[in-house]
Amino acid sequence: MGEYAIFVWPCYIAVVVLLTGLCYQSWTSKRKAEAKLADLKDQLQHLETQED
Amino acid sequence: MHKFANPARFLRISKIITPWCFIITAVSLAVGLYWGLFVAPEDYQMGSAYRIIFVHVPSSYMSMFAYGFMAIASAVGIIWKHPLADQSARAAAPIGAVFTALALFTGSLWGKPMWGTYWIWDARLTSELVLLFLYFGYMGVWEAIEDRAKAARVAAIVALVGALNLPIIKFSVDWWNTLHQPASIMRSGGASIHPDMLYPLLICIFAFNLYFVTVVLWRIENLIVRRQIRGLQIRLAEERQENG
Repeated sequence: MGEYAIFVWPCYIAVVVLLTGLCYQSWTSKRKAEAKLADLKDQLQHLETQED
Repeated sequence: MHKFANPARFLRISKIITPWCFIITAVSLAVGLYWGLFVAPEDYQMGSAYRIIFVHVPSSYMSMFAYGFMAIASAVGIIWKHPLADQSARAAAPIGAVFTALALFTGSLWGKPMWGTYWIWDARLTSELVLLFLYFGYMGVWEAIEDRAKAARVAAIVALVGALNLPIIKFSVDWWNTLHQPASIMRSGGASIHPDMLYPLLICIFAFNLYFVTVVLWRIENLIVRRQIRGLQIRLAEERQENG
């Protein structure tokens, strides 16, 4: 790549880092929300069985 | 289309599609980037500096595609009050902003060895920078307005007004005298790139498209689940109040 390596490599590194980061953030955020929803559903079920 | 707009049905379909999209994205991105970096031949004028094309062109294309998606979803949200439309537009904004930032960053690193400068206020570069600010503005509206319905309406207007910038970006190189080269792939008369360079570029464009699909589906799922969480929290609070 010679003299242009200093321009080419940062571009590829930025693409890999930013796309991986956004992908990871989107996936973990979704998983956390799903876990919280499941927890809330359990709490609601528990309350409803207590009422019965 | 209305069938798929049901959030529960959307979640079911999305959970089937996204794992496959993710795998194909990862494989095609790895192949495209490797091909572009190590296999594609050097350009006779630009040498290896042209290899930035394999990340710059897909990023630039996706920056406009994501905004177009956002604008269409916003229009659907305003006209038909579709439950998923506003969520889809909101989910696409951060992805589009990342692609725009990448387009600007890779473009400036390509500009330095070719034009002798990282930045110049020419029409293509400036309109792409305006696109980044439009993404920030759109996301800012969602953060600033607490009432979700009102935030959706204002954000949709921002998205639709900002869509006027898309043809300006696309045709800026034809309308004005700019340093940026004119279109070399999507132009009448076919692509002007040799197949040895065109194929890895098309693979990268495909991978970036599929990346968008995967991540936007995850983000829409996230927004739907968060809405369900808000509903359940209210119900739980009511139940607890009833139970004393």
